[in-house]
Amino acid sequence: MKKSRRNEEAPRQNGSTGRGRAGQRQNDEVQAGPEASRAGLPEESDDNDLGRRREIRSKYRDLINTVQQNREDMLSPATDKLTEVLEEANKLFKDVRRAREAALDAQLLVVATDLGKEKASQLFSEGSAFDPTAFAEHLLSFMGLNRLEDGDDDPQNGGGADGYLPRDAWHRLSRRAECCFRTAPSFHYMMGSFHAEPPAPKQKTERQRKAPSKEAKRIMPTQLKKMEESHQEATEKEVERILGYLKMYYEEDPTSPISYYEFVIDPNSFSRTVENIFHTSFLIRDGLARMYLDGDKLPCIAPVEEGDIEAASSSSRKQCIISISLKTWKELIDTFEIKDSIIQPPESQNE
Amino acid sequence: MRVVRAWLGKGVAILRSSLKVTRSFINSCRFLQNGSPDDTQETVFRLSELLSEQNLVKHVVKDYRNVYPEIMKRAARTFEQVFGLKLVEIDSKHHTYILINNLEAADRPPPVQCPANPKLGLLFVILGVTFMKGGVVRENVIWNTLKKLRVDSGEKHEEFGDVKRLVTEEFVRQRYLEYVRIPHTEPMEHEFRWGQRADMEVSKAKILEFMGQLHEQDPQSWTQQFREAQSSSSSQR
Repeated sequence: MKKSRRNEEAPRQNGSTGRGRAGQRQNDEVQAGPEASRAGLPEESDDNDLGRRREIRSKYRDLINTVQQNREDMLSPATDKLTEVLEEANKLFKDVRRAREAALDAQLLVVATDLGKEKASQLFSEGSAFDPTAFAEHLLSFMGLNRLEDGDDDPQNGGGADGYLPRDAWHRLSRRAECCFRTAPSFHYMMGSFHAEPPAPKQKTERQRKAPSKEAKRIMPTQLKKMEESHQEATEKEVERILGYLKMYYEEDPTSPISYYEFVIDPNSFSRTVENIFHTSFLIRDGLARMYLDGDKLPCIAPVEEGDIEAASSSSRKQCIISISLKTWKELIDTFEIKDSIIQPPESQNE
Repeated sequence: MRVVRAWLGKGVAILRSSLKVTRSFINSCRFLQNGSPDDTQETVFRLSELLSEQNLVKHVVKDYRNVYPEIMKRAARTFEQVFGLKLVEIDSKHHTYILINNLEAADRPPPVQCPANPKLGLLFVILGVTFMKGGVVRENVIWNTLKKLRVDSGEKHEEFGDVKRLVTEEFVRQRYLEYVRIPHTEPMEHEFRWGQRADMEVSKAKILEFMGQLHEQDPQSWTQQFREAQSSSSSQR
């Protein structure tokens, strides 16, 4: 009988003789079918038969699941799990009589051979293996993963208990990976762009008018460079002096925000006010002071803590243009009721 | 004489239009690359777009569409000689083009440092793993690797947003990746391959070099990949 021949078959390899076996099986199936009907099985075996068939189908489905769920495991060259599954399938097939079970067997074969193909490709690769897990670990180190010492710390930034990635992690990686790409450079302006449109309309709130227009971007006016070169030292001194005032004022009451306009405006001299704005912009540029809008959308200024200066340098800075005219200056003085200047004029300077 | 003049005239017109086109071509490149006529910090984070003939003809070439091939040829030459950019047809059916950098990367850092696009890092990881695994990899390998890097395809990522969409749609659309269904898989699975654009733009040799640095191994120890990198870099020239 064909069945006995099948038992003497060579031990299965990973899917290499798949097609042959499937073909042979089909013949078996065809033989078995008519034989069974000719024999005229009694009713008792019919019930047993149905039960047995259900069992077979369920076992096949289990095997298919096993292969699908434990893919990684089965692929590993250390285990023989795939062979075990196929041997199990062989045993099951002995009892298969009908097309339905055979179809499941065929399905299992397809899944197993696919796995077998993958396993075979692993065998053929020469040279070092590449393990994505190890790769990921190396990448994490490269991106600056901070591995926490104690497990008690709260995980931050989407990290697990084993450390968190710094904010610029992906930027760091991208910077390094850039050289692998031959991308055409994208166009962007070197010095930032000017919005050519007129400044945004002034917003009138109930209490105060926001006087000068504030653009979303700030850049240093190009004039600045020239001044810097010729009066560098004097400017630096001024900037430092102003930083001193800012810190002093801030220290007096750290909780109350310092209104930017109150800070820079000198009610006695318009030109001094403009100079103050100019020097203050240096502080902002260097990250020593920061500006923000308070609850009434009015600009406020505050010094940056010592520790924060480093962190701030890597994050993106926004730019903005501030303009002020004589008329605006007067309006500001009236609106904010500025009586005297926070920044005292230097004694030695000639007005 | 008149014929010659007519031809000259036409030649001048073509030249002029090709210059005009080149200028507007460059402008449209910028438009297409940055997605907006002006420049804000945000737009630098877009990967450069594909240029399609359809768009070009509609917005740029317009009336000169019958000399379109000539215009393209001249524009390509200008790009190559003046800017060092190669205009490559990435899809001959739909006539889509990309611009790639023909120049060798300088050893020293560039004079103008623009902020690095984090998506590039993500793309590098996927292309890198795919390459090291022989050029084809099942999607689970990629998702698992990304998960270890704190990028979960099922969740919204702080930097990348909808990661699955970015990888399987955006990167594929940009021709950096191919996301192909594997037959007979239940539930449906896909595999990743390098896209045409990656084949042209990305240097396998440089990827291998970086791998070597990360793993502290000699790149040549991955013999198959090393061979592949050698042959692909010669075909990229």
